Amino acid sequence: MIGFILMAFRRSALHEETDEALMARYQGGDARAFELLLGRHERAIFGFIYRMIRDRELANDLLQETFLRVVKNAGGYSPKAKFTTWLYTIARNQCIDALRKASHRRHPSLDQPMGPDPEGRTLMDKLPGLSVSGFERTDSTEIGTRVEQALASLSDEQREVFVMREFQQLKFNDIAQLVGVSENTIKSRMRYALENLRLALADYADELPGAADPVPARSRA
Amino acid sequence: MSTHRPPQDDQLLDLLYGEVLPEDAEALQALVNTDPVLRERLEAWSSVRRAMATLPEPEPDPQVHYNILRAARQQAAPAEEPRGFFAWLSSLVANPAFAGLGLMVLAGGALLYFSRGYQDGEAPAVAAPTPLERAVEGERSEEKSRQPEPPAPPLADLEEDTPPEARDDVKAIPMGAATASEGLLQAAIERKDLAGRGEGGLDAKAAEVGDALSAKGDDGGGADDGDGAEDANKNRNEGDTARRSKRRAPATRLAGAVEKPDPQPDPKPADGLDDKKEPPPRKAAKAETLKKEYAFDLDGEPEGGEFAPPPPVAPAPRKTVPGQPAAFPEEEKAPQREARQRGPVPRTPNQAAVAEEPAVGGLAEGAAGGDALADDGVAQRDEFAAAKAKDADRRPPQDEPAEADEAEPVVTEVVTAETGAAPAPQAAPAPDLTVGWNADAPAGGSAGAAPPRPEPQDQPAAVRAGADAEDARVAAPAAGRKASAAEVGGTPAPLREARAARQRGDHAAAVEAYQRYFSSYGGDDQFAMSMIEAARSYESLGDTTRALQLYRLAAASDDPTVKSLARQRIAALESLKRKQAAPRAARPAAVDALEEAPAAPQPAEEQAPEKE
Repeated sequence: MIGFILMAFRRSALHEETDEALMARYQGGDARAFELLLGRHERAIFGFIYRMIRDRELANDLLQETFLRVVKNAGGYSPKAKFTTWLYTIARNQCIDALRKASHRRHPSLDQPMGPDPEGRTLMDKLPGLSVSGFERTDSTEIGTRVEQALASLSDEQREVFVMREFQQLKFNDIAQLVGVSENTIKSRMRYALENLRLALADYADELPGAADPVPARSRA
Repeated sequence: MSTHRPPQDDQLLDLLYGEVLPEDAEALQALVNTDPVLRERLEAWSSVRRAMATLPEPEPDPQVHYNILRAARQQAAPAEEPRGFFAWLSSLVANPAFAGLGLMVLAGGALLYFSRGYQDGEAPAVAAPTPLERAVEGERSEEKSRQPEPPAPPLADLEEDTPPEARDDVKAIPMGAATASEGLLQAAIERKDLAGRGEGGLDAKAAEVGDALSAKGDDGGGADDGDGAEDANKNRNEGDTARRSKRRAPATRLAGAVEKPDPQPDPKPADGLDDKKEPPPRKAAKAETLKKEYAFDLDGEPEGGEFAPPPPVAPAPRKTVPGQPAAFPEEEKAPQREARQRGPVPRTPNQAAVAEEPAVGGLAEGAAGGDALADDGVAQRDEFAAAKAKDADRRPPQDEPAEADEAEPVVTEVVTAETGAAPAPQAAPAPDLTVGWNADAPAGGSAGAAPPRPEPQDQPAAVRAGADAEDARVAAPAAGRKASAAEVGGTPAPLREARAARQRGDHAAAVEAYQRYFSSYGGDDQFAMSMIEAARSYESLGDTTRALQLYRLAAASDDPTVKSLARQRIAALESLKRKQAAPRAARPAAVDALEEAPAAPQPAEEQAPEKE
């Protein structure tokens, strides 16, 4: 009985520790700390990978490979670095490798600058519009499927930024560190992603549920 | 789509995702409200976010989770060697075999706990004098015998010098009032002790007793209450659960004589109680029998007389004598220390007569002596356990099987008592609870219906008159409490039986029922008053010594009414005792009979100076 109480007490104490502290514990050999880390980030990382590569089986493989790399490279982790940044960096690299192997990058990014100026005009700026045509609308009857398709229509750079900010709740600054570009570039990609998604879902705007208001409350004030 | 990128777009994103600084939020929101283009863009992006909210969150394959965890544990395994107590405990608990075993032990322990009436917060019946206890008493008796004027020889000495057959003959002697009162007083001490200590005290004390028995050897173990108890005894030394099982060590001590063969070759012929040859039902029957014997020792007399009498020595009452030097320095209180400086106080009337009144005079103070009783009980329990541990090796092992054999036949009667339910009052009809136990008092409601109380021949009239007056005073609050329906429903059966017996004037039966109540219940609000009642019955029987001891216990109660009554009676009885001390012939015959009783063990406190 005392053993159960002690274990419960210890587990509750572990639950309150930060990711970095848990990682440090795992570096010291505490497998339970890694179990907690896995429980915290497993679904988020899988969501990120799945929305990036849109293949469930491959996403599972990449998820496993991502955390296995964490396990293997745990000794090199420095607690000064943010664990989520490190973790998403590993996952993103896995996604990039997988996308390369799958030749998913067959087309240039729409927001990729056309000239040497990184802030110059992009391909998207030259396109008249990316609105989903009528025949595409007839292919899917469910909004969810259409949203998935709209998300898939984004470029990898836009999608990764959008997924990280929209689904993974990473801040623009963290995404910039993770991707390795400036925060303005991240915001630019995000803006393009939002515009493309808006255009892709324009025909479904009336059918979208209004239950979830994404605008933060303090912003509404 | 416009290629123009207004400077507010970044801030608009911050506003959309809540990353804008609080001090800038109002200004930006005002700007958005005034600019229709910005407002429209913000609304469009918000609609995209609403659309994204419809997407379900993808779930990873659970197998991936386990694969990752397995790899992580393998990676961490070299560094995850058990370190310290917590790691060891975690690994122990994580072991399914240990966990299952622990659950079984816990379940068995819980069953035994509740079947023994622990739910009332009372102690197990510990007053059964085991052979080990008698051996301890024997050593104390030896020391006592070196004193100039020794009292009656203790039975432990007789046991040591007497062959087993003769000892059996001694055990066959029916228990008299002295033994009964000793058991009663021991049970009362246990209640007092446990009431002050709580559950934790129970465990600690049980652990001490268990440790003492473990130090002695395997014969302290054994199964006494079925499989659960067997498991508990098997795992006695494994963690906290095993320590809980040690609480029942005194009972299992007896059971061990049945269940486990004596490590030394027994010269007597085989009794067929070998654990290996014994079928399970027989083992259970023996366990129940031992429980019966165990309770019997507390009660003082067997019910029905089918089984052999318990060991004739009940060592408990000598522990309760206030003013005796405390056994352990850490438990010692100031009044006890003073009493020790005054010298040992004789316990029996004979000793009182020999040693005369200086120490008894201290007892006559009543309140002080009574208040120290609870602490006395604690210290004496500690000393008892320590004495067990110390003298464990000296105990002759041959005397256990005989006790177990004698206790074997009785099985079924104990079952109801062991299940935790209050035993049905079979011996006596259910009393009228609205009348109460003190109907024999002058103010009692149905005093006329009760048969006249037999007048003890040797009890002085003054004592009896005072006792009757006390009955009348006790009657009022007790009767008032019994008017409550909840309390009527909660009155234990032995207490009801005891009060009915008192109502009938059968004080011997009342004393016996009070013993059962004290041994099975305690810690309730009727306990203190029941001590007064039991003491009154003893007074009616002429046993003023036992009555005085019970009054002293009751004087330590928190109930002011009980305390006041007890102190008054203590003062009266002490006064009477002093008067009787000078002319020895004037003492009650019952007191003389007590002095002639075979069981006159030495007070446990006499060992204290040597230990210190």
